[in-house]
Amino acid sequence: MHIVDGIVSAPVLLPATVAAVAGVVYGMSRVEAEDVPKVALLAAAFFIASLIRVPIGPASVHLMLPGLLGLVLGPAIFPAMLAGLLLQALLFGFGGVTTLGLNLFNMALPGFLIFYLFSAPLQKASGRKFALLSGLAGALAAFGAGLLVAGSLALSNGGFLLAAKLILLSNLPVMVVEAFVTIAALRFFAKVKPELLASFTRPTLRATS
Amino acid sequence: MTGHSGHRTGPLIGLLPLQLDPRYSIILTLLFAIITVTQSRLDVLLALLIFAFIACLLFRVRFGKLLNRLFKLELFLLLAVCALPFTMGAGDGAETLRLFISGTDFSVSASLEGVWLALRIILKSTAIVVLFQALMWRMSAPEFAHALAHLYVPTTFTQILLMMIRYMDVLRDEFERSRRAMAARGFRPGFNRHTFNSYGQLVGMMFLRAAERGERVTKAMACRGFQGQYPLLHHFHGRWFDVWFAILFVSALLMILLLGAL
Repeated sequence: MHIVDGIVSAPVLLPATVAAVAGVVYGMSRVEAEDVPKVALLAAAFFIASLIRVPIGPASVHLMLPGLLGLVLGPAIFPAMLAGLLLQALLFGFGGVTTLGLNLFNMALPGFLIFYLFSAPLQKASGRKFALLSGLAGALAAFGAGLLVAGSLALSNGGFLLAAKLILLSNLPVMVVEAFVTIAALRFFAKVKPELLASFTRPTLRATS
Repeated sequence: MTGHSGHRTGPLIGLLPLQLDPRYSIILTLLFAIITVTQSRLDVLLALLIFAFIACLLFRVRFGKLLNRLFKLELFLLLAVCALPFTMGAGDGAETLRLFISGTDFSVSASLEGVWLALRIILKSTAIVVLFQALMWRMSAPEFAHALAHLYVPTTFTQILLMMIRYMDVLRDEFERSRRAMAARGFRPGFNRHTFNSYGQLVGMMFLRAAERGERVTKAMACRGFQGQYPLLHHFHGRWFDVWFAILFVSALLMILLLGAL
């Protein structure tokens, strides 16, 4: 969900932008030179995964997967998502110019929080508990992103309260999709390459070789 | 994906076959966007929108693409702001429009304040999108990344951006291949567990391939003596045209702001 220019008021826009910049700076400080290709490739994969659409009745939603990206990238989610947003703006004209920081904040922060809350428990868990935790991570990340988007609108102007409620409501099916897709993806990691899971807990993102 | 090769719709309109230096384009677009969102007077915003259209006429812009962008934006905006006149608090003494449905007792009141806010939002985002098209649409993704590097954006970030641009098509091809393979086996997406599982595994595979390819790229590049950044071969040389255009652009903006302050 991209917010375009002119909708959000300055008291919302400025703090979010400052926080996003801080996140990007922090994230880049945790990326070693040899991890740059890995971060870039995962950012590209995230970009392409967002092209996948799941039909809901006559409409459809596209995958966001901020939780999954957060679990794989950790703090590097901030620069990776910023690169994705910049390319989306340049190639497809999505999103706004002045709202770039806000959009980054709204999507990357939930992913980053999921990384902090869930990476260690996920590593210890297995079986049903693993699936439950994965689903929770996917749903919470999507919920967080929707809540932040709705919140930035509602805080900007009381007139947007209705739109914010509608966004939260339409976010419900998205949460369901994100939860199940995240479960399947994390189970796939656990089966095929557990090292990718193991690299979650390390705060710095190192090559797993 | 890496260029502006996507849609070639509609004729080119505009006078100058020139392209502005990408660094100037980025800075001027940013400046225009920041100035536009901070304005609140409707006449100033209208002037800024006209200014953006004039910029479109100066540089060659694909007309169909511009219309397409604007259509999508307006549709989105109308959905977002149409409720504003009715949801904005019509407090004490606030000007309201009251619409009576003839023959019934039913009436709808809309606050003028909400109408103005909706108009302001539409004008602001439209002006920025139009100007973005004028100054940025010819810029390819690598050019954009190089311009950022020349604008002192930290190397780590521009390297991530460049590497992402470099491998976007590779990953996209892999993705399309997987999707065709799924379609060949009769997969049809719907809102059900089977779809979520299949897509989850597809995404998992994409992430896994991306991470492994990233590690291989690191090793391959280390073997070739990669120092951690691509050398910047593309240097931009500001021409007099760029400088004059920037001066003209900024003074026209200032003039609009001054007129608005009167």
